[in-house]
Amino acid sequence: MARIVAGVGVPHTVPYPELVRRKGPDWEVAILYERVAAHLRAASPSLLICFVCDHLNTFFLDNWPTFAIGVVAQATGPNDEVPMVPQQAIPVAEDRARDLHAAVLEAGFDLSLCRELQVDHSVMVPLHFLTPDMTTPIIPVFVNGLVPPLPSARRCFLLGRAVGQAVAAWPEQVRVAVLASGSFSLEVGGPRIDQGRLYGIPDLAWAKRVTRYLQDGMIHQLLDEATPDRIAKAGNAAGELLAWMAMVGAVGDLAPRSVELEPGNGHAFGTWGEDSA
Amino acid sequence: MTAYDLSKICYLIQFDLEFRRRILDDPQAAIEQFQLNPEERLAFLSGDVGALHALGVHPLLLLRLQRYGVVGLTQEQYMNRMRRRR
Repeated sequence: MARIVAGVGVPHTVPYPELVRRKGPDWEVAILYERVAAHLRAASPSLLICFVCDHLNTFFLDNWPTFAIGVVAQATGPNDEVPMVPQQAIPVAEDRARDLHAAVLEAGFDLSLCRELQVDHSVMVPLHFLTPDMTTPIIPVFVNGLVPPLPSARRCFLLGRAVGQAVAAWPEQVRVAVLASGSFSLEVGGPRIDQGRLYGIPDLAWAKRVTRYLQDGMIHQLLDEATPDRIAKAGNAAGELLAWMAMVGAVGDLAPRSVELEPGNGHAFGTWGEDSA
Repeated sequence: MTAYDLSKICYLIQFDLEFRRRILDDPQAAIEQFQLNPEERLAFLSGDVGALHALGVHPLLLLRLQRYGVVGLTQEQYMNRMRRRR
C-alpha cells in the first residue's frame, strides 16, 4: 500500500536561490530550507505531491481554475524569471496523477485537467532547495490562492484529505511526500508594499498566529479563522495559505514536527512526519 | 470581468516576445487592438499603476510593466504610484 510519509511547507520567494548562493549555508534562510530538506531526505519519498498557487504564469484569466492537476510526463519551469534556477524539465508521475485526478473527482473535487504544463517559481523554488537534483517525480496540484474569489480554507483542507485518501488506496508500495509552498502574510506589488520594496508584510501577527496553529495542530481553529476577509487583510498573496491547508489535509494523521516563522517575514518552514521517523 | 483587456496586455508582455517588442517600441499602436475605454487607455499610457489597480488589474500582472519598462515605467515610479493608493 502507498503511504504518505512526510509533509513539508516552505516559502517560494523568488530571490532566495540567488541570496542563499551569495550568503552561504550559514544564512538563516539557508538553514531553514536545509532543515526541511533533511526531513524530506530522511523520509525518502519516491513521489512528491506539490500543492501550489499559480501567479498568473501557468494560467491566465481566460481560463482560471480554482483547482487543477497536471497529468503530464513532465512539467517545464520556471516560466517566470528566477535567478539561479534555469528553465528545465521536471518529471511528473503521470499515471499516478491520472489516477489521482479520477479519484478526487469521484470524491467530489472537480479539478481542471492539464495535459501540457509549465510551472512557475511556486514549484521551482521549493524544488531547488528540497530536491535539487530535480529527479523525484512530482504531481502538481494547483489551488487558487491569488485571484479572488478564493476557495474556502476548509474546502482546500478537504481537497487535501481526498488526495491523502486516494493515495492510501493505491495498491503499490509508494512512499509519498506532500509539499505546500507560499506565504501567510504577503502583499506583492499592491498598495500595501513597503517603502522602497515591491512587497510588504501587512499582517505579521496573522502569520505568527497561523504558524502557531500549525505547530500546535489546531487545524480546525485555523480553518474557522482563515476566512476570505481575514486572508485579504493579510495581503494579496496571503491566500497561499490555502496550499498549506491542502497539504495539512493530505498528510492526515502525520504530526507537525516543527513549524517555524522566518523572523520578520510572513512565511514559515514546516515539517510533518510519522512518530517513528 | 473588469479590466480584462488591460490584464491581457500585461500578460502578453511577459509571454509574447513579439508583442513585448511592439509595445516597448510604440505603446499607443500596440494597444489599439484591445477594447479599452478612455479611462483605461489614459491610465495605461501614463503608467499609472495605482489607477490600473483600482480599475481591477491584478498587481501580479501590473508588476510586469515595471519589469520590462513598458511606457517607460521605472520600479521607483511603480512603488510610489501604487503606495499612493493605500
